[in-house]
Amino acid sequence: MLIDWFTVAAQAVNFLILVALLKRFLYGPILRAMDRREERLVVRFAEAESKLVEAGQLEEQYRGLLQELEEARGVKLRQVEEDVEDQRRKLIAAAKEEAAEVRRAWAAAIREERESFFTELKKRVGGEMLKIARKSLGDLANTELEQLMVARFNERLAELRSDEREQVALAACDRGVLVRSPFALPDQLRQRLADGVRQALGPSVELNYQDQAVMPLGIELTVGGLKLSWGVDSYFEQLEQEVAVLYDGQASVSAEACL
Amino acid sequence: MEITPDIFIFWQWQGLKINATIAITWLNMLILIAGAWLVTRRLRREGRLSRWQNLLEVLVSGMEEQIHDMGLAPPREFLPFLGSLFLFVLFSNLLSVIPGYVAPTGSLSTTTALAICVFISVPLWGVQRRGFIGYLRMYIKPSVFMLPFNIMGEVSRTLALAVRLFGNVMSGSMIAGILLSIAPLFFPVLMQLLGLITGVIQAYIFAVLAAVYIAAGAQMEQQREQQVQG
Repeated sequence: MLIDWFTVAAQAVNFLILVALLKRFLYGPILRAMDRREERLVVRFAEAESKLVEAGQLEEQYRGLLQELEEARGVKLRQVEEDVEDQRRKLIAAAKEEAAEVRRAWAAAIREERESFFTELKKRVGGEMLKIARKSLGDLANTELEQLMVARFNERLAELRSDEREQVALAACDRGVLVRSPFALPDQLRQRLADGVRQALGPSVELNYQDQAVMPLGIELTVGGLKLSWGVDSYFEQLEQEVAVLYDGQASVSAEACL
Repeated sequence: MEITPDIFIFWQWQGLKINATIAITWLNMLILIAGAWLVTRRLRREGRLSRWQNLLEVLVSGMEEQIHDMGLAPPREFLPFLGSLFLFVLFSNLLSVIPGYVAPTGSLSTTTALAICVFISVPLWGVQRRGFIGYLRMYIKPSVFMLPFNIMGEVSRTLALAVRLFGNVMSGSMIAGILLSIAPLFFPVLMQLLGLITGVIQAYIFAVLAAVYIAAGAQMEQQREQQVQG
């Protein structure tokens, strides 16, 4: 007999015990572990999904912010460029203005210096020339300079053209004649001068004298608005013009060097 | 030559006895339970899994998937019974490569016990799912005249289940023994390898047929179709 019924029963019981034990020690723990892992995975997937969505939103938000920032930066940059350009123009204009101001001040200073120089030059040269002329005339001819000047003045007065002389005479009769000289004329010279004047302009001409006048060496006759003079003034003026030309040339060279 | 291990009796007292079949079955059970306990006492729920845990998870989830494919739902309700059938038969058959080991499935008593378990479980699940009347009505379909044939079919398939497994395992041992006497060098090794394949296939067939019978008894397919149509 191949079938032993006691063994059949025992094996059936054994199998049922095996089912119960395997359920307790194998299927239960394994399935629970798998379920828990699956749950955890589901949770993690859900978290990952939500974080993905969140990351997408954040990305969108930051992309928008970045774009705004970029636009704002562009606007700001343009504004700054405009400001810089404006500032540059203002600075250049201010610099030009300042340079022009400096140039003007410099030119004015030069002009002033030149004028004062010429004034001083006139004074000194006049003074020096007067001394030299006086000394040289005194030494050479034993004649005082005043005498020569008066003589020369009378000669020039006599050399006036007739129309000029009439015009001067007409004015002299009405208002008198003012004689100006840088030195005090002695009575003898005054008399000689008055003779010369009256001979040229008429006997009834009144003469007034002004000594120590601020003028270069020479004698000046003022009749109303007319003026007749002889002295070194004309030579001074010529000298002044030549010096001015020289000075201007030198000033322009200096100005180019400065610019 | 012995064709069943039932005849090796280690202990006997009145009607009770412990033969080789029962003893080796206990040994199998002990190894299975101890192995399962050793692996599952330190289960890791996250991170890197141990190799044994991975193996058991693959085994359990594979069996669950197979049961699901058979149409048994929920699979976890049937897993302990069908999975234990498969594991017990598989383990017994695989260990038969060890010299001196006699597979309990080579005993008709064992296969009969397993087949009877399946035979009983079919109406249990059938009644649970369809009700007592509904289950009994299955035997008179398509007509009352089919009742004896249905009952005979039920019995004969249980018998076939038992004899098929017994025949295959016993024949493997027999062939190995015969070849050992004829060509003692290489053929027995080849036949043992073939026996391993046969053992795995038989374990699978036994478990699958049991699942099919249970599914037929519970009419899972019809229920599922009704659910789909509904």
